[in-house]
Amino acid sequence: MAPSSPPTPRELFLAFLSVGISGFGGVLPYARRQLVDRKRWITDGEMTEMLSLAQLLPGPNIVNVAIMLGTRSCGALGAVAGVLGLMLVPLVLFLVLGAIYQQFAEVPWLKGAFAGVGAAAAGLILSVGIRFAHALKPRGWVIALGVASFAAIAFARLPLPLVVIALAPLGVWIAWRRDS
Amino acid sequence: MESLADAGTLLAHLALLSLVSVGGAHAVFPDIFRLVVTERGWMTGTEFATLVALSQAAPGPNVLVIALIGQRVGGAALGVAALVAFCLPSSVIAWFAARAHFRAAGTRLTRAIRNGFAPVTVGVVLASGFILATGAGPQGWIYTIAIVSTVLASVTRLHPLWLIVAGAVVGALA
Repeated sequence: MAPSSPPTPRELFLAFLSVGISGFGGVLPYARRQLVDRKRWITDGEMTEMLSLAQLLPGPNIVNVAIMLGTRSCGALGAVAGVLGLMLVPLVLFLVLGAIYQQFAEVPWLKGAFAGVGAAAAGLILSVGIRFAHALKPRGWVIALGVASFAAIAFARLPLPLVVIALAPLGVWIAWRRDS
Repeated sequence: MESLADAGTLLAHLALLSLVSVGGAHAVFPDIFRLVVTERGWMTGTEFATLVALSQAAPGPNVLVIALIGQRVGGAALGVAALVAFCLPSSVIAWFAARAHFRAAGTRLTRAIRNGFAPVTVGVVLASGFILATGAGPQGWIYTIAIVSTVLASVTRLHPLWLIVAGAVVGALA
């Protein structure tokens, strides 16, 4: 597939607008379809690379991908255009939904419905963690570090920054030592 | 929401968490939960889980749940401010990183950072799901939904919306 010419800020805004309003339960599949299949601005390989970096960096993955593609295509303006396209319409929708929900929050069956949605959403997040875990190489230190991170937050309820600052450099150090 | 100081506390906390939010908003749910539910009591655990659920059910990036949390604490304006506070610091980092990355990639250090962070990220994401599942409520049917949803989302290519809808129907009838 021959890549098309780099997008302008306006094209980035519109493409991410369509990604933002279509993604139920996570926008990443929609982003891949739009950027790789339809617009052909990047290949699957480039998308994977951007996503790896996005996952490595702080911030929402899809926002980071928008920033990276925007920066690569047309600099800071492209990054801003991508992020605004992604966020603006869903933000308004979310605030309206949030306000409506607060009006009806005490209706019993609605409370039940939302608790059910919350449980299903928790399962979706757990499945993302499981899919991520499958992608790791099952070395002893990898498993130990993953279990330690999980336990520190889920059971010991330690603050996230503390856990990351304590465990991530340890992981980087081990990975550095083993990569030769 | 009692005062401007509360808004300041929330925004400062979100801006700080932004810098360590590797894995996105999911990764920092436990810490936001700690602030807004456990420490400050701005909402209950069930309300928190519900806002997360709402963000999963609605179209758009899941990070918008931050706007819902801000809105619940202090209105729509704080919702928008919360989203900006949470996204801006990490976005600036991402911008610098993107520029650096497109210049030089594939060194031993970048590999070590990628491989070393990965297990921590996985543990953090799993802990987020665990805390949400247990925070959604003490009833047995809630755990059942969470477990069934985890299994189906892991082993099938079922659209997430079906699981969200199924959770809503079961919850409404329970």
